[in-house]
Amino acid sequence: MENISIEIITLPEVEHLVHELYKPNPPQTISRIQEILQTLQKSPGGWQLADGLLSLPDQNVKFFGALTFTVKLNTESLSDDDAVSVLQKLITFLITSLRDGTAGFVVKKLCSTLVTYFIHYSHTWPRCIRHLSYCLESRTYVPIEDADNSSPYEDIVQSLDVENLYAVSWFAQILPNEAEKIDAKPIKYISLHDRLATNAADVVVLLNHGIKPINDGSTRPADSISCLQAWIQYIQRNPKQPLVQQFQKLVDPVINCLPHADLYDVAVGLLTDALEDWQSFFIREHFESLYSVFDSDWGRDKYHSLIESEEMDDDDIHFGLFMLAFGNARIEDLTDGTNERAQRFLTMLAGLLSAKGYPGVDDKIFVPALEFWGTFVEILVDSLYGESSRETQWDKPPIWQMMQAVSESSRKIQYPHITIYNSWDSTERTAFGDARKDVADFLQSVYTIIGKELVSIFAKSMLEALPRSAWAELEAAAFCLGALSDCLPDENSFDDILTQIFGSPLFGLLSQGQSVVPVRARQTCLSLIERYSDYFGNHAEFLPAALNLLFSAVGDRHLALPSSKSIYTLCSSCRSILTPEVGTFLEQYATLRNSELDSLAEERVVGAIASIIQAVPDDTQKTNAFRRLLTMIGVDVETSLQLSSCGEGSLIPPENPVIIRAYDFAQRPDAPVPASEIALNLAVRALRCLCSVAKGIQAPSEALVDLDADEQGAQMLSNTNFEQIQVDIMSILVRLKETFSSNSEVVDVICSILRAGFSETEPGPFVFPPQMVTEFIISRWHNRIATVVNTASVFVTSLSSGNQKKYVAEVLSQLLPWVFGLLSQLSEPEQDPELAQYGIEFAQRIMSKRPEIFMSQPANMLEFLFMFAIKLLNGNEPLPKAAAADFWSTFISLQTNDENTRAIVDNAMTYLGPKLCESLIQNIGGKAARSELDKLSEPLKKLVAQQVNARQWLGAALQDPAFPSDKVTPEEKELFLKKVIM
Amino acid sequence: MSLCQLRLGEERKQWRRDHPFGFWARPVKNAQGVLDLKVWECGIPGKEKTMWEGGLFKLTMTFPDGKFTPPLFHPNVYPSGTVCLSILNEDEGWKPAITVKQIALGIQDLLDNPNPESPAQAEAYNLFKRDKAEYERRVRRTVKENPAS
Repeated sequence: MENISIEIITLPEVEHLVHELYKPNPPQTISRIQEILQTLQKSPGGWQLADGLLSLPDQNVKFFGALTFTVKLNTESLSDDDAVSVLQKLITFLITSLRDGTAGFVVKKLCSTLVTYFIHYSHTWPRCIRHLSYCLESRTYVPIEDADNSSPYEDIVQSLDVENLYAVSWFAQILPNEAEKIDAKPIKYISLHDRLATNAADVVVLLNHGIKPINDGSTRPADSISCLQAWIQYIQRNPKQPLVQQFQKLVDPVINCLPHADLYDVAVGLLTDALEDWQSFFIREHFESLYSVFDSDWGRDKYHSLIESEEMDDDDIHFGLFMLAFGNARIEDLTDGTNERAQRFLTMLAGLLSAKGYPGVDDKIFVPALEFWGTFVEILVDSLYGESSRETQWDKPPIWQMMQAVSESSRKIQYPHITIYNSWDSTERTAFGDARKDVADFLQSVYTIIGKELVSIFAKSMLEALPRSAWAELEAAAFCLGALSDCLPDENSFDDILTQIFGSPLFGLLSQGQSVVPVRARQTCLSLIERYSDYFGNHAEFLPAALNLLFSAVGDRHLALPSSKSIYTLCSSCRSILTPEVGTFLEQYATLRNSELDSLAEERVVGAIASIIQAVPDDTQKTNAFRRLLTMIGVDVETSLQLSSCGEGSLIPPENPVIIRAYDFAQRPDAPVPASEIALNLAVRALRCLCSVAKGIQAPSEALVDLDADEQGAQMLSNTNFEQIQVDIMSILVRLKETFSSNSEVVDVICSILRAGFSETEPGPFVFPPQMVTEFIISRWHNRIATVVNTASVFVTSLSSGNQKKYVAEVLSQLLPWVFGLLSQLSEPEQDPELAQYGIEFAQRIMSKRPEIFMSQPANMLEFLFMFAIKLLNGNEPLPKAAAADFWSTFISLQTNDENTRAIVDNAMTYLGPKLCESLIQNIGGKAARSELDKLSEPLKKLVAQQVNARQWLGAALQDPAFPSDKVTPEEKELFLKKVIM
Repeated sequence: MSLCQLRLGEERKQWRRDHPFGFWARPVKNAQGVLDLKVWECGIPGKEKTMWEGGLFKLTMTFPDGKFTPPLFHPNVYPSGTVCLSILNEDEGWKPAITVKQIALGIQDLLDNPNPESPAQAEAYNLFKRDKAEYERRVRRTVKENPAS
């Protein structure tokens, strides 16, 4: 086959190739055959080839023949006469094919080839539908002009037999589909759409004949409806009033086909799509007919089948979607409470939410129906705003139906029995969960209209379900109540309703564990506490019970994370009320530590307790409480350090109790584990708890800050109360750092702990003396030194803006050489981009805050640093480069009153200016990425504004032979310079 | 109604009709309960079979930017939580024609396929490039802190 010569290939050979093409052959062979066949199709002999292939008996070969005609018509330009002779051939083939048992797919292909003909030669075939029908009816090709003078088209259509009708319908259906794809702008196609419109009247006659609610074998109504759908789509995109009107006549025939079982599917599909996409296609009378359909016995039967059937099928779902499409199209009617027929329909739409099955799982109409209701409520809100005088009357439509929808939807989101739930796959579970979220959304919209009463409804449902132990019902009501927490106004006007819930026996039952209340209901009820945490701030009497309940749930693996989150929220926001109970909380925590406790849940619990400790007014009580907390965390620290000192290779068996604290349930090992790994896990756990404590004990941001506070006084307090605690915490940090600082997580968490104290304005256990922090920072680290440098940056910044400014100089005298030292150890700046970035950021901050200290560093250090910053600017690492750009911007615009500093800066600028300009121009000239240019423009702007020599330096840099692009002319460079300098 | 409002209203309809599984997105409501179509809250689930699976990340879209709340540990998310939506289609830039659905799917894809050309935070970026094991540990913790259910 490789050497085949296209010129001498014979028809049988081509036939053979086509056979091979449709056989299972290796992909290389297929693509080679395709290549040859395509070459043949495009060759001048292609027309004859097409002709020859269509005459052969094999269906695939015939199909390929028709395809070849399509290719030729699309790729070659014919004279009108030649074109018409091709048309004659195609029609003749079609006539034969319809009689000789040719396969349907070949007939369809011939029809589509005829459409291709029309697209390119519509001027030779203006009334194609009529002419084609006439030829088919005559069973021979008739000259085009003869068809124009023939009998009325109605008569021709009437006498078409079913095969002919089939072919014409296919042709008529492909026509608009293909025409739609044509760009009408080129001259060649300018009249195509007009000619298509000329044929519209004939299409309407054809379809009017075809679309009948009978299937007597004389017509094919389903094909006709599909054809109509294609035309509706086409006209929607190219709407012309006369065309629209002609096709509107066909809507009623389609509606009449609905009750016909064979036609239901296609008819309901067409009507639904058109109602959804183009409701203005329908006129008043159509809507009247559709209302009657839904009111008819057939419509009611369909509706009942949908909402009552045990297993919803596609037919049912399509009917539901049809109703919803109609509802959306008539949504204005539906908001009018006086329109009785519309209100009857709206009642049915509310009923859609009551279909059998679980939303998203086997009830497929629930979610679309709820979407309708969401839209409906939004529109209703607008219309109700318009008439503020009228009170919303619940028992009057359309509010009544909306409340039906609320009732149905809130009932439907009840969880099934656990065995059913477990039988669902993950997709079904997610879909059910999503449907619940949709209901929450819907209820929030309804709240806008109904207000407080809606909250009351769900509170009542909960209380009604409680004595019956109807947990699924109660859970659903609690879920709805929770959803409304986002809507409630800040004032406590709903507290009476919430008191009914939080003061009920429910919470007593919940604390009795899973045997009484199933886990799902417990979870949802517990989440109510967090959602309504403001309520507890006003009702301290319920707070202990709520918190006891939450603490009892932390030990439950399924509830640990949500309940610990609630504990954190509640304790943090009600801290002042809870201070007398701090002892109880510490005991609760001690108890929790004795059994299974998820690490993240534990962090939240200790953070919560720390926030209460923060609010304890008495300093002695405060430090005592804190010490108790720290002691408990300290246990893990000691165990960790002991384990780490075990010999290398010592293993701990999985049943050892320490394993439970070292691993959360999902990660727990079932084989012996190295002691070193457990030691590390415990260290991380203890550090994370400390970190959460450090954050929890921060003063709330809204607390008043006394700007005039006496610095000395604050310092005194810190020293007396927290001195020993600080020493103890620091000792933990130092020991864990020395043992584990090769682990990056350990370093990161230690740094977070330090940072939590930096932002505090009041003394506290984590507000370490600056010297202590400094010494810790500059001690030896084994990993992630970049994070430590970044922490040093934050430290210095917070010192300079807080009440400890006087320590800055002393701290810097240690930190600056330390950072310089770290940077100078890098063999090249990009060896550790993160260190490079944070190092240069550190330098930049010091330079801007304390220029006199920064610039008085030893000359060799400064020189090193400036060259380092140039290298970063020249480098490829995006983040260090951006940091370097900031560094230079700061340097160029450095403000100082100190003469000495000024002199050093000016001197440095003379030397650095040209280098900086060179680097910037290299970047802007092409080395930098587009996204970096914003950052790089900053130092350039500053240079131009502040430095008299900028023009000269930039000019030199532009002339440099190393300029990255040779496409920029000297004139363009000069223009650039001019524009920049201006 | 402004053009922008119309476009976003249409966007909302589209989302209701067809949104990817496990995602949610809705315009926020202002104090009067009226929708502000220019600000959307979305939940982006981690993709199945990636280490982000099981997480649901809250993103506020204020066209044309998005902001994760709380800020997300991810190479392309700024320390503030901001993510430039243009990153989803760097070559062509952000186009108004892009839909909420595309954005949501794009961000979900970005979670597990960070764009190393556009780093936005040093921490996640450098761990991603230099210490994959630690990077994955951090992602798993992020997922645990932001559970889907």
